[in-house]
Amino acid sequence: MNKLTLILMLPFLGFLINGLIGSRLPKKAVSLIACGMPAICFALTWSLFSGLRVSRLPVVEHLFTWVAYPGFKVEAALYFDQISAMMCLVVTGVGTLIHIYSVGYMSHDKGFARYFAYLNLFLFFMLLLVLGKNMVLLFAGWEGVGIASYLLIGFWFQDSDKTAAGLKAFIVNRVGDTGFVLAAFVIYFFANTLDFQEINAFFATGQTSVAVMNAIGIMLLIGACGKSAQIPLHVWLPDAMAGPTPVSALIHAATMVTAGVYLLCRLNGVFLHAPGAMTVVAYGGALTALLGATMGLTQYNLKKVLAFSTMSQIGLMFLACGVGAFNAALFHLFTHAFFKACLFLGAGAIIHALHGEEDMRNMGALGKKLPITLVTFLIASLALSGVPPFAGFFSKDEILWSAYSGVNGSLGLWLVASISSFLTAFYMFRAIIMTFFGESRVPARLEKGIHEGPATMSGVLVLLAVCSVAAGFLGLPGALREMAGVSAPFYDFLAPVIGHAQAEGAGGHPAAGGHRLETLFMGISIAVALSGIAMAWVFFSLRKEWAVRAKASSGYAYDLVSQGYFFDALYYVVVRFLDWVSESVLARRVEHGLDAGVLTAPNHSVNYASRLFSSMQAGSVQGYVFYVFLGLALVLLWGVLHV
Amino acid sequence: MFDGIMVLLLCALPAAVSLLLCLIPGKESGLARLLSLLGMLAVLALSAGLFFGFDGAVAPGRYDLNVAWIPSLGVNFHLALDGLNVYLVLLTGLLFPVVLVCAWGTPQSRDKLYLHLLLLLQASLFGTFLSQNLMLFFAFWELVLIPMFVLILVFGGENRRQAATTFFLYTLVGSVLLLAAVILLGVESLRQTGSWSFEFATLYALHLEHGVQLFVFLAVLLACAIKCPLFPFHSWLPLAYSEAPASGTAIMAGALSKMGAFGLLKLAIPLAPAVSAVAAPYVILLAVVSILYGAVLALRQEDFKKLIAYSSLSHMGYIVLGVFSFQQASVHGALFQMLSHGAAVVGLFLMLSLLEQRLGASYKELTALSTLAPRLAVTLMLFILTSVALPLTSGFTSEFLILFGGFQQGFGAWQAGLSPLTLVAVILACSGMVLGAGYMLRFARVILYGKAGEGARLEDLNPREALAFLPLLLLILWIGINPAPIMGKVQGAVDQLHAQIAGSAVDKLHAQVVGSAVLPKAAIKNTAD
Repeated sequence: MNKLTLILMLPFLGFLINGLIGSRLPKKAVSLIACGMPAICFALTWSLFSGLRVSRLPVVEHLFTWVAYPGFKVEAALYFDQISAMMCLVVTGVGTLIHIYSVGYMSHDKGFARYFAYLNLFLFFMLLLVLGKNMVLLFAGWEGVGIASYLLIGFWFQDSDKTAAGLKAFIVNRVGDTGFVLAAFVIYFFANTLDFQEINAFFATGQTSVAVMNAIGIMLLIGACGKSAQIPLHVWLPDAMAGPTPVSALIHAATMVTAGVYLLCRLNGVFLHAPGAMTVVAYGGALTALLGATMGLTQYNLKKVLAFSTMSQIGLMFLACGVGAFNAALFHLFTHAFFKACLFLGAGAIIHALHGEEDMRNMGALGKKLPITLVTFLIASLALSGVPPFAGFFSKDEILWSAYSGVNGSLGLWLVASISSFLTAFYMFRAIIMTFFGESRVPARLEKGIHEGPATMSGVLVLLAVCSVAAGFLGLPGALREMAGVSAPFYDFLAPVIGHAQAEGAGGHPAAGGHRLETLFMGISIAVALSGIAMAWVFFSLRKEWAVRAKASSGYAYDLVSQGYFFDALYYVVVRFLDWVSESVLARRVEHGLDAGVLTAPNHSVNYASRLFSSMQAGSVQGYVFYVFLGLALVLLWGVLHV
Repeated sequence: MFDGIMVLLLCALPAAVSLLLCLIPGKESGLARLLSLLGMLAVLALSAGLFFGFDGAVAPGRYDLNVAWIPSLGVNFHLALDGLNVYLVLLTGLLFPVVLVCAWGTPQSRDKLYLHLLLLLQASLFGTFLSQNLMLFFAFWELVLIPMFVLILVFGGENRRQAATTFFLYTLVGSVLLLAAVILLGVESLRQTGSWSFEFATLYALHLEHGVQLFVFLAVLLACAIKCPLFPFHSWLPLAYSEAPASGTAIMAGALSKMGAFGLLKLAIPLAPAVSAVAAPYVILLAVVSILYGAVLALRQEDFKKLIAYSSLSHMGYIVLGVFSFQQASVHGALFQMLSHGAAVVGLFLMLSLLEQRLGASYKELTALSTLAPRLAVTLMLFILTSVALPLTSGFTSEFLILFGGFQQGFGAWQAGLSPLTLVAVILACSGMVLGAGYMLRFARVILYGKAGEGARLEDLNPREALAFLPLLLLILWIGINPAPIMGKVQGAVDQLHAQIAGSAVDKLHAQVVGSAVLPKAAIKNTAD
């Protein structure tokens, strides 16, 4: 078996072992298998990645033919190119770390083996998603991660709210999946293939009309929106925080939710010929970035703040795709995976220390008791807010610049993205101040024994924090690269698949004049981030009454934002309507009507007829004589008419 | 000849075992149960052997038995394995032992009448699927009703009398016109070839006038729409499914419903190809209405059996959609869906029957199965996921192929300037993906999750039961993961079906409709430009 197949199959093996006999194995064995599989996968990915860096040729592995009839064939084939390599590294790398962290986090849980079985199952499907060579295989992974996410959100299945959240996540994802499937159908109709490379090659020839391309693009976007929690299909993500926190870190921050971005990049050949769809992607992403950031402002649940922030950051990635800067989107995906995982795991450390408390109003002054968590959380927050030299600064800055200079770029897009960056810095530091500083509001019963998690947990936090700093230097923005006279290994690596020329043109590294403007924009974005942090400091540390007053004075606006712009209410209406149709219209009326018409009515008429006929021969002589005369009359009539 | 005998054995072996049971004294007997199981296992081995041995050749194939029965009327005892029935033969062979093993512990499983009925049901189902003579087909088609009727009447629930009569009369009414069509076809054969014949091969070769085709098509459609069932002919279904004994429900949903879909493939399209081509969009519309109607109704069903019954209505709609999309993909998908739905729905109903065996009527309020009986919960979840059409399960393979083919057909017709009706219907059918996930996962949430009551206990899946479900799950995963080798077996039949539709292009409109089904894509694009 070659490396690529092994990468895919090892997590599945882990799932089988832990799923089937895990409950009878000691916890050490379970954790060894569960963490070992992704670790080996990471090593294998790394060795394939090293090979790819030198050869620059994708690795293809045909496993078997999935479906075939004359004229149609879907191969189960794996494809390891630069994009897949990058995604695989993130999935297995961050995945391994989160598995290790989970050993400490879940150590007291009864469902220990089940948890790791699900987690390995998730990895299997996620790797299938990023390694699949065609749309069917990607879709298999796509739905698979959905079901793994469903199982993990509802992991504590005795709690009815948690299972409801899992259900919601799957259903909303399914809405998006329908869009994806329809897109695949239309693509096949024109391109006669479902293979990614062939699709991109076919649409590059420009045989199809722009309208069709836009339609395909929009349908793909619907699919991506579902998985990546973009407006209007984002409603499942905040609820998904019901799952164990490491799950939120792995699935709902670092990997699965970014699958939509991966899809857009994978099919960039389609989007580049669909200008209308690209515009929708860009503006949709910007809208999500902004709305997500505002919703993050009003949350008191620490994990939900992070969830909205994830949504908002993925909005930025979509924005980057929409302006043609696919490589910038991938770079942000890459750095985001580290610092967002670090934030979630930090939140997990806090929740673990507080025995499940997630409300920030019951926190405060935890910095002294949880110093490692504080430092790592702070680093990751600075990265998220876009403060140099942390990773988020470099990746986000590239996106902000592209929003202005890219294909659909405009000052408006840049402004929206900048505002959301400002809000990001603001709500992150609001969270930090409420959690780690100020006076303690921790209820007395939780006060005792607040301590850092075991070494596996803190170690992972530190590693991720280091990555949150270091990762940024892999992809310095053009202006800085020129200044420092270095190259950007990340962009160089991706260049063969997401062409440099096209990305450069879009991502914008034109002449020196451009660089001056780019540097100016960079300065503005640093100022924006710092002012967001400063404002949070003022509002939540120095002048707390201002925050209260601001909240009171905003009135309805505050309700609108804190209720998530009533998207949930809207969907609730739709679901209730369907239930009403099901119960009151179909079950009570249509079904009853059908029963009455088809079952009861014939029954009655047969009964009536039988009574009629039996009454006709009930022994009444007068009646019989009447029939005889009637018959005679009819015979005579016939005779008269026919003679 | 030996191969022909094997086909006969499929039909004769259950009947022979049933006769043998008569020799066993008493009304109830463990020996009878054992004997029946052994007979069913032998049939399973036989049908599996035939399935793997079948190479996909078109009739007259290797497994063919043709004996004259009433030569003057052209009625032959002609059974043969072909591409259309090969999946169903495997399914019928598999379902019965599974059903019996699941019912093993119940008192009725020792009842000789029950065993007789199961065996006769199996024999007549095999007869229906294997017949290559229309009269024989019709005889078996009707024969199936009798053991099923008695099964519901004797072993059913509270309303069993009403359920049994409704089921029997409703399906019988549907078959009256079918008999008229059968006779009409015989007369046509006499007129055109000079001798009576009910052989399918002869009938397929006749040149039927438009009016005759229309009558045959409508008669078959009505009979099949009731059997399947399709909206609005499903009124017997909720009652029969919830009142029949568990094994009866499983067989009805798993195998009997497939007779309807099979009838469409075997009779409607080959005998009335021109009418089928014209009527296809409307039949598809009916199928899609069934899909959505069943799905929406299932959303709010609190009775588990009725929920699965309506989901079955929805899933059968996909089969009809696939059949009448005429595309290779969708016909393959429809054939797969027969297997997939057969395995999944039988799994679901049998799961419910196990719970009913353990808990009695109170199983309807069951919750927190995951805590009480984890192995049962996992097995149930796998069947649920198949119903949800999750990739790597057979549900995905079949529904994907059906919708894929349907979409290509509808989009092609639309691009060629024809009515967009099919396209709209298929897109609506895609929303069944969401609704299907909705009602199945709601069901999962109610029954699997939640808090178990104090001191509640439930016996988990025992090895016997696990062994019964294993082949179903293996079948589901096999079709889900690597369906390509299986598809080769039916390729010949799918090609033949295509040729029949294509050969029927009577007038221009039909030619166009059919053209979009079979012409290579480039040709359609040219006409579109």
